[in-house]
Amino acid sequence: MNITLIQFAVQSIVRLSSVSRQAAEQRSRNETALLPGFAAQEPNPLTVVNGFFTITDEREAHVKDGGSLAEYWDGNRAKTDPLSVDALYIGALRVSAEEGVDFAAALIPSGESMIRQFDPGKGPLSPFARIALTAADIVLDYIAVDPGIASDNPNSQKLIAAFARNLADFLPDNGDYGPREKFAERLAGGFLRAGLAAISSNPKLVVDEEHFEKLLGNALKPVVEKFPDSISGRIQWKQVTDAIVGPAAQAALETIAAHQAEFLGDSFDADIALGAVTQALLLEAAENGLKDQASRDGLIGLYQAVIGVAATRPELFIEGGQPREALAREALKSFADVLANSNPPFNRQTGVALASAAIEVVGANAHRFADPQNNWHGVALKVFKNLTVEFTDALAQNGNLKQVLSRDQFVDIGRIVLNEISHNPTLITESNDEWHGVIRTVTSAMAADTKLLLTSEDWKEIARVAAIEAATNPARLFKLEENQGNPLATDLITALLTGAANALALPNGAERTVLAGAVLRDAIVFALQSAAGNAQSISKHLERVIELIDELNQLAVEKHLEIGSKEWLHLFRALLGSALDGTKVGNLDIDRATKLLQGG
Amino acid sequence: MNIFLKSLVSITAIALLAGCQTALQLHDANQQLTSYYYAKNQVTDDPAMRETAIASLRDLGKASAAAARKTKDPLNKISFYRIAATAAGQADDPAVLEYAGEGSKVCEKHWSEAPRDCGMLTFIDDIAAVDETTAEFNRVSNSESPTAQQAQKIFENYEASAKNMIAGFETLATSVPAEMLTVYSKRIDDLVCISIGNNARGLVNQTEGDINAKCRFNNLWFEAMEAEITLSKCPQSGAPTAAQNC
Repeated sequence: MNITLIQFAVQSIVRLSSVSRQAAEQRSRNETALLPGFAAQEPNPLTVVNGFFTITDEREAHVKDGGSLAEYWDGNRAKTDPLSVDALYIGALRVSAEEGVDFAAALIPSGESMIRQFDPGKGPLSPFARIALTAADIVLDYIAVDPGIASDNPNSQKLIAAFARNLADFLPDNGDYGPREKFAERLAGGFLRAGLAAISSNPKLVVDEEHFEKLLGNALKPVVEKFPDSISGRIQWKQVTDAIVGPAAQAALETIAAHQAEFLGDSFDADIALGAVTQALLLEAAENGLKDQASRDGLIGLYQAVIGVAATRPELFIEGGQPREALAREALKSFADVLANSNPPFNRQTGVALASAAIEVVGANAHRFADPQNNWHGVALKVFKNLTVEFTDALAQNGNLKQVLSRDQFVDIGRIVLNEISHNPTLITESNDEWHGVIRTVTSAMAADTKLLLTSEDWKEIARVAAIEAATNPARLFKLEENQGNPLATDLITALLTGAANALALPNGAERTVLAGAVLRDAIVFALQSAAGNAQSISKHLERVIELIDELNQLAVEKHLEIGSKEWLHLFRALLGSALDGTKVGNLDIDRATKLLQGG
Repeated sequence: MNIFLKSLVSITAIALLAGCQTALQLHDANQQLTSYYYAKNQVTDDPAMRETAIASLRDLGKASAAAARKTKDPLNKISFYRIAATAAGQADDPAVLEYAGEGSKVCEKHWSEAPRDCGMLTFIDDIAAVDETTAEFNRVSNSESPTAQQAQKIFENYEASAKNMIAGFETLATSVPAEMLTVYSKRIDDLVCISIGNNARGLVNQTEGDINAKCRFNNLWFEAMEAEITLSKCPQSGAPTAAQNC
């Protein structure tokens, strides 16, 4: 990834968080504030009338000589006897009434008021607008880094519109933001950034605004609603979702890009299904936490596989029109548990890739299950578990195998087996474990190849043919024995591998043997194809097959100038049928071999 | 990179919590100010309760001032100082001057971002001073034999507060919310027309004080009108037409 983009993502998280904090503070600062009124005066009535009748010349006229209240006045001030004070007070009420003033009310000061920080419409942006602008700012920054997603890009426009509508649903109109709303903002912001990144890296992606809105709503709203009340819970949720929301959103968008048809048009099933799985991922991560980077990567990898199924078979994640988040979560959790408990290297990326293969293949065939909505992920889990266990056993028995097979090649073999087996869908059901037999055959054979006579490409081909034969001739060569013993095919392959190893031990065998590499692979492939329809013959006449291999090897080493790889394979093909029927190969000398090679 | 990102997330979370804490602290302080204010003014017949409310206001003033001094954000500082000064003023705590002064200093660069709070910080000490004078007025007016000296002192104190408030009106007229200016005008109206024009001047008149209270009141009235302050509680006729040499 571009370092500028990483830097940008970090900056935007910090900026959006900072704006959220500032918005909360702004809201608190700008709450209406008390402007106290003056404390009330409690004047003596004598004070009041002295003030009232001397404040203006007009009022003074009432108490001066000739005035209606002059008898209660003494020179420049009111007489102090109660009768005079009362008379003057009543007189003040009368005069005020004549002036059109409520005397009593006029003497009472105004009370306190609650004042806003700003006049309506003149203050700074509301907290909501600030956050919206910050989001816009993020988009602008992104455009600066990658002009390809400029604001006139229709995909960017639709993405931003869907983001805004979802955010608007989360946030109250009055700007009353609490921790829950800020959490929603972080989640949605993460999706916006990931969405822009997806548009940037998938120029052909067609974003449908309505679909994306539905996806976001289904994925995020329930998560926000479950945001815990406790402080420690909130800290964990924020940390976990910060770590996972970006990769999850990126994976979701990539899935949409890869399955465009499902995310356009009138049906929203794919969006609901994808939303259910995304929600499951976020809740699983938030509630159970992420132990380390590996568990995060693992969960994201599993999520990516499950949303692939959700995109192509959305009905598996929907019931009665509602998302089945619990099922998606159970699937993610059970796979994550198996992953965490697997032995290296199957507890990390290799395991995730194997799990993805199992999820994809089994999920694609889920409709064949008696109860497709409930059983497919259980079988997928079983497949995944068996793949990891069998590969682990093979590695434990044959440590040299690591030199031939890289981690990716283990995954390739697992994927090849599953893909080929899926051509006979009856093998991928809850009641059939033929796939297990194929896996066991291949891994047991791998364990037996201690001399490393086959390359990784050879093993892939053998696995492919074994799976094809299992699919076309089920319940024969690859059926596990009742006590979980190895399938018959294992004995056949092992016989060839053992024969090849023995040939090396013959005088000059190491230099002259031809049963290695491509020849050995072709011999195994031919043997599997020959025995697939007649598995019984192996259990009865394996000894004859072993004799044949040994005879051919002996001949090839002794008459190396006459018997090369091509001749060896020709003779093997010519004689294997008889050996499987129980016919002893007898003395295979050069004359007999030559006749056979000449079609005799 | 991993450690860096983890650290970043942690720092962000801590910063968010710290931010939320400030926001909550501000919100709570603002709410407490209103609650204690009403408590103080609604329990006038229960001295013990009133004292409790006043003590709470004093404590709130100290706590808010401490928060103002601690926080780095200037706008948060201003809000905390506004709460501190208002609470101290209502508690009759002289610290109101200190809090208002410190807050006003921060406002020098940030007035337009917090116009209400900055506006209040310029006159909250005048309101406190008026309340202090009113307490003295109530005591003197209802005493057995108020003296001219007491009455004159009360008048002069009120007069000084009124002059400050009228002088401040011009600045506030262009720099605070309109509704706040209206309320501020009403405070001046109350102070000039009732507290001074009727009652303080009446007390001076009653006690035969020798200051020309009427003349000085008329000058306040005239100054207020010159500043285009609406005085609805003064008599509707007989307003002074020019400043007088008292």
